[in-house]
Amino acid sequence: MIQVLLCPARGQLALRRNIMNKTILLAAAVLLIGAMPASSARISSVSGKPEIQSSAAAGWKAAGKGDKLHSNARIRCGKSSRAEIITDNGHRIKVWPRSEVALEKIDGAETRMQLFAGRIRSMVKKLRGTNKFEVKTPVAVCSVRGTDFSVELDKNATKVEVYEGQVAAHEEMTGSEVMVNAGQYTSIEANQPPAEPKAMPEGAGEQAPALTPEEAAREESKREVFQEISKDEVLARAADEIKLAEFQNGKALIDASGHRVRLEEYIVRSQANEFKYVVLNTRDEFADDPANPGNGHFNFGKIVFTFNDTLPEDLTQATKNMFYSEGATKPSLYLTDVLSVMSNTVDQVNDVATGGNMFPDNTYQPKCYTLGFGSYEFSVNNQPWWRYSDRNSNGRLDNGEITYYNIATGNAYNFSTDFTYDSTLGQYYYLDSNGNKVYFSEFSQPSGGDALHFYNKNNYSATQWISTDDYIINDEGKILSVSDIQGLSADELKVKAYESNFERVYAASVFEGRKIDLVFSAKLLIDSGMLGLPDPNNLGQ
Amino acid sequence: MMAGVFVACGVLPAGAAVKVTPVANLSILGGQYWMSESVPSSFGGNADLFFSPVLNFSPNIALLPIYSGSYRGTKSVRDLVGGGTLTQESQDHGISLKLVNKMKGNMKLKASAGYKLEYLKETKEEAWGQGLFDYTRMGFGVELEKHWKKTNGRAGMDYYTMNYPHYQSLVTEGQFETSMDTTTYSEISAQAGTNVLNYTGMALFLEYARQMSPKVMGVIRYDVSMKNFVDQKTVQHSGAFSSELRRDLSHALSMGVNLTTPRVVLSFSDAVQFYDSNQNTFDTAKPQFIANNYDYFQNGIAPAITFKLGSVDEPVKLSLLWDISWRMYTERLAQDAETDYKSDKISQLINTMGMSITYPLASALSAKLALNYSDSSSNMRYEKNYKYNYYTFNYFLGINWEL
Repeated sequence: MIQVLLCPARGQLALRRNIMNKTILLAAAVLLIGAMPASSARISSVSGKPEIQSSAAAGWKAAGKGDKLHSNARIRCGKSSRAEIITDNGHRIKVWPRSEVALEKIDGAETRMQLFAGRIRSMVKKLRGTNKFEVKTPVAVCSVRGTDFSVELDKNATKVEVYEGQVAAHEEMTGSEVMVNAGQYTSIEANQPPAEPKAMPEGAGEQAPALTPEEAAREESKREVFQEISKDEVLARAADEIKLAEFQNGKALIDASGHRVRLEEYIVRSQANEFKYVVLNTRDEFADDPANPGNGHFNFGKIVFTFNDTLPEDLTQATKNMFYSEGATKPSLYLTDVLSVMSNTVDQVNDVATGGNMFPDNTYQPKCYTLGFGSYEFSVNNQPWWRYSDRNSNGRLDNGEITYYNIATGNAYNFSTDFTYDSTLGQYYYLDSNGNKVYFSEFSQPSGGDALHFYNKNNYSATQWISTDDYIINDEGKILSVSDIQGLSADELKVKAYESNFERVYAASVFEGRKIDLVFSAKLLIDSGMLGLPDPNNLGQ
Repeated sequence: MMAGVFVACGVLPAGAAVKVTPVANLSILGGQYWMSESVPSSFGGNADLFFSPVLNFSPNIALLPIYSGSYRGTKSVRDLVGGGTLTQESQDHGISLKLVNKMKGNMKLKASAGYKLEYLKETKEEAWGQGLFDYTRMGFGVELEKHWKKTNGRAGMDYYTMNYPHYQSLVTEGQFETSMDTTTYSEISAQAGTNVLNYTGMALFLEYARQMSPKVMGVIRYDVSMKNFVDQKTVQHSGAFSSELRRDLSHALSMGVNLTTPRVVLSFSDAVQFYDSNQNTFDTAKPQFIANNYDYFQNGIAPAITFKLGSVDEPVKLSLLWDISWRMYTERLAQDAETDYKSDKISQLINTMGMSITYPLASALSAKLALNYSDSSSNMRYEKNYKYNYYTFNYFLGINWEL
C-alpha cells in the first residue's frame, strides 16, 4: 500500500511548542484529554437511502438519523443518497452519493477512515496533542489537523482538495511531500510523487465542492431560472405602477352595482370667457355593441361655463367664487351661462341656464353674494319638460316662476285642472288606468334607509315621467351609508363627499328602456351645486 | 422550435447528447387579507409554479425553456395596495427561452426571449381575458457574466414591449365622436392617443458581487430603465395634449450584504431610486396643472434574518424581515382632505414587517406559514382615488415543493 502522510502545518507545530512551554495546568488538561474514553459517532442527517454495516460480520441495513456508529462500521450511499456523520469530538464527515467508507477507528484520540469509493468531505475540529484524523484510500492516507478538505477516489487516483487551513501531503513509496494550501488541490497516483498543488478552478468556492456534479449543475440551472424570474418580477412591478397610477388619477373605478367604470375628465378653454368640463364614462356591464347604441356602455357629460369676463390663466381664481362669494363687494368675475348635457350617446338630458348674476343677501349691507339665473330650461331628448324664469329678477325661485310642459301637446300643464291636490300630503297626483293615485313627485331610498341612494321621480303622466337614482359611492363601488356621515358637520360632509363618487342614473319614458348612467368625481360639480349634498341631519329619519 | 433556431444558427451543437435537468418549484398558499377600514377578504388561495427542463447540450451550453405562472386569489401586503382592495383575482403565465454559453475565462454569455400575459379580474363582469388591465409582454435580452475567484460581475440589457389590449383612451372611442358635438369633440380629442398605456421598455443593469469573507457576500447593482409610451401624449399647462410622447426614465442603485453561517443568514439592503417622467397631469376637479407628476425619489432599507433550527440539512427556517421605504414625489403637490393643494410635495413612508416559518415535511416538500403587516403614512390627505394612509395585514399558510 502506498501511503500519503499529511502532516500538521508549520504554524501548528510552532503553536504546539508554545503550548508545551505553558503552564503545568495546561499540560494536565492535555493529559486529561488524552485519557478520555473511546468515543463513537452518529449519523446527523441522511437523504435518499444510505446504508450502514455495524461490523464486518453484520449485514447492511438502512441508515437513519441518529444511528450510532462505532469503530469498524461502514456506510455506503447509492446514486441519490447522502449521509453526514458527526463524531463525538465534533468532526463532520459528509459522504457523497456513490461512495463507501469504513470508520476503522473512532475514539477520542484518533479518527481513521478508509474510503473505498466515491468522495467524502471532512470538516475537522482542531486536534490536540497527538490526536489524529486520517482518511485512507487504496493509494493514500490523509492525516490532517483543524482543516476542511475532501478526498475523492477516482479509479487509482486520489484527489485532495483543501478549503480551509493547510495540509502537508506525503507519499510514502516515493517519500515525496507537498504542501496543499487552502484553495488548492493535488492529485496522487500510485508510485508517483503527488502532483504539484494547483489553485482550484474559479467558482469552486467553499460551497461548490459540497455538491455532486449533478447537484452543482442543478444549482446552476436554478440560479439561471431564478435570475429570469427575478427579472420578470421587476418588470411586473413596473406594470403594477402603471396600473396604480391610473387609479391615483381616478381614471378607473367601480360603480354601485360592482361594475367597472372608466372615467376621463377634460377641461377645455374654448373661449376667453368660457371653459368646458367634459366627463366620459364607459361601463363594462354592457357589451360595446355598435348596432345597439345607447345600451349603457358609453355615457358622457358636458358642462359649459360662461363668465362675464375673460378668465385668468389659473381657473381656480374663477371657480372658487363661482356660486357663492363672501364679502360686501360683488365679485368681478361671475357666471352668466351654464349649459349641461348628459347623454348615453342616444338620449340626452339638457340643462340650460342663462342671465346669471350675483345677488347680495342684503341690498344695503351685503355680506355675501349668491349666483342666480334669469332663466333655466330642463329638456329631455331636445324637448322642454320644464322652465324657470326669474320674472321679478330677485335671483330666487318664487311661486309661479316654473312651468311644466306636456311633451305630447307641447302645452304647459295646468296643475289645478290636470292634477288633483292631496292636501294631506301636500302633493299633486293623477289617477292611472287602474284608478290608483300617481303622485307628481316620488322620493324613496331603494337601498334602505341607511344607504346613500336616493330615488326621485316626476310623473307628468303615464307616458311622461323621468327618474333619477343618485348614489354616493367610493371607488370600490360601496354605497356610503348614513352611519358613515351621521354626526358630521357640513364641512366634514363636504370632505367625505370629495372622497366619494357621485353616480346619477336617468331613466325616462322616452328612453325606451335605455338609461343615462354617469359617474362623476369632480369637485367642480359638487362646488357648483349641480350635485347637491344631502343634509346629514335629515338622513335616516 | 426556438431550440431549432439556435441549432440552425450554430449556437447549439447539432446532434449533441442532451442531458435534461428538471428544475421546478410549486407553492400553494391560502390566506386572508385585511386593510384598514375594510372587511377582511374571504379566504383565498395563491399558487406559484415554475418549471424548466434545463437542456445541457454540453458542460458549456445549456438551454432553459422556462414556464412560470401564478394565480392570486388574495393579496399580499407587499402588493401595491393603495388602490384599495380592487383586485379580486389575477393569473399570469410566462414562457421564455434562455441560452447560456460558458466561455473561456469563466465568462457566460446569455440570451433570452420571452412572452408573458397577465389577466386581472377586478369586477364582476371582467371574465378571464377581458380585464381592463390585462397585458401581454414580449421581450428579449442579453447578459454577460464573469466570475473571478471572489467576485462575480453581470451586465445585461433587455428590450420589451408592453401591450394593454383592453385599455384604450375613451376620448378616441367612435361612439363619443359621433354623439358629441363636433366642436367639443375636436377640442378634447386633439392629440389624444388611443393605446395610452402601451409602451416599449429598455432595461440595463450592472451587478457586482464580492465574497468579502467566507461568510460575507456583498452585492451592488445599478439599474436604468426607460419606458417610451407609444401613444400617450404629454399634458400641457392648459390641460390639452401636446404632440410630445410620454417618456419615463428610472435609475436605481441597490447595495446589499449577506452574512451566512450554518445557523443564521443575515442580510441588509439599501435601494435608492429616482424616477423621471416628462408627463404632467391636469386635475380637472380643482382645476390644477401639475408638472412632472410622476417624478419621485425613493429609498428603501430592508434588513432580514433567517434562523435555521434543528437538522442541519433540513432545518426549520424562521425568517424575520423589515422593510421601510420612503418615497418623495419631487413635483406632485400634497392635498388636504378638502382637495386643496398644499405647498408640500407628497411624501409617503411604508413600513413592512414579516415573519415566516418553513417546516420541512419530506424531501423537497415543506410547509410554510407567513404573517405580514404593513402600514403607510403620508402628508397626502385627499384619498378618494388612492389610499396613502393605511395599514394592512395578511397571513398565508401552505406548502412548497421544490425539485
